[in-house]
Amino acid sequence: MILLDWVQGALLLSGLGFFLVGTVGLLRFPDVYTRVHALTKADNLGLGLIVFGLLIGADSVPVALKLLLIWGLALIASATAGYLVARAARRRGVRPWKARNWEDD
Amino acid sequence: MAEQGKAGWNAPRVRAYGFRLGLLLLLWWILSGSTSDWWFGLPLAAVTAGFSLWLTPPARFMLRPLRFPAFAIFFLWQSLLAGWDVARRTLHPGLPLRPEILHLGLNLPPGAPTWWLMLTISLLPGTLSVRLHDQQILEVHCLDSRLDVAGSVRETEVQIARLYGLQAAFSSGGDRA
Repeated sequence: MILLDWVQGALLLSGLGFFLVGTVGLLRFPDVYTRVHALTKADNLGLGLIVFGLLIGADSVPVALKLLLIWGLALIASATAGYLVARAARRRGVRPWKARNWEDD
Repeated sequence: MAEQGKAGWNAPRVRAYGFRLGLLLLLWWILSGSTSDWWFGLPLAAVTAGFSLWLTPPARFMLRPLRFPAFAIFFLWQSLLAGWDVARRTLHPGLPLRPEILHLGLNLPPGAPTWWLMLTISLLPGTLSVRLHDQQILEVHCLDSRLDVAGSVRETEVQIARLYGLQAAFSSGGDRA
């Protein structure tokens, strides 16, 4: 049981870490498109790790399925929202940021 | 909508009703837990399935539930890679990004398969769906144009086609690409 507690702790902490990284990406990345990348991907993995961490301690099948359902709905919501934000930016003509060192090609 | 109602109870509608009823009952069980009150949940699910059929007619493409686990494994592994990739780029002092917008032709039929593809690639490493033209050309924003973006979108297409049982129609289009 102690091993399971450690695994659960590791999953929860790494999930938190990915949430933190998603937020750092939101601050560090240069434009709206790259920021959507940071938020959707890092937060989805973060939430996924937290959900799997909590699955270890789930005391019944419906509770476990409820956790997975929450993750699935959050995945669909964030992918949809990310697409809508990117499409709105594209329609307004927001130019994607380009790396300066790489403009040779 | 009225035309849909007049169509009556043909086989696809009955199948769709059964499928949705099953999903709603599963959802009721998940939400209400071990002390499920079925006297309330069962009629509620039956009525809701009827409403959903009225609002959204049966889809043209059927998901193959048995193929879902393989897709889930693909998806879980890819989201792990995606999160790791974006975390690495975020925390790297040099911020290694080389973003680009690519235009990729799609082989999947329009409708649900294309929508699932767009949602899925937004969660894959370094790709984000931006805009869809005429249900055929997808604009994809990628974090690093040095990666094989077209290849990973192709692979996702194959996975989605498998999920919908579309390989036969798909492989002829896939060979060309």
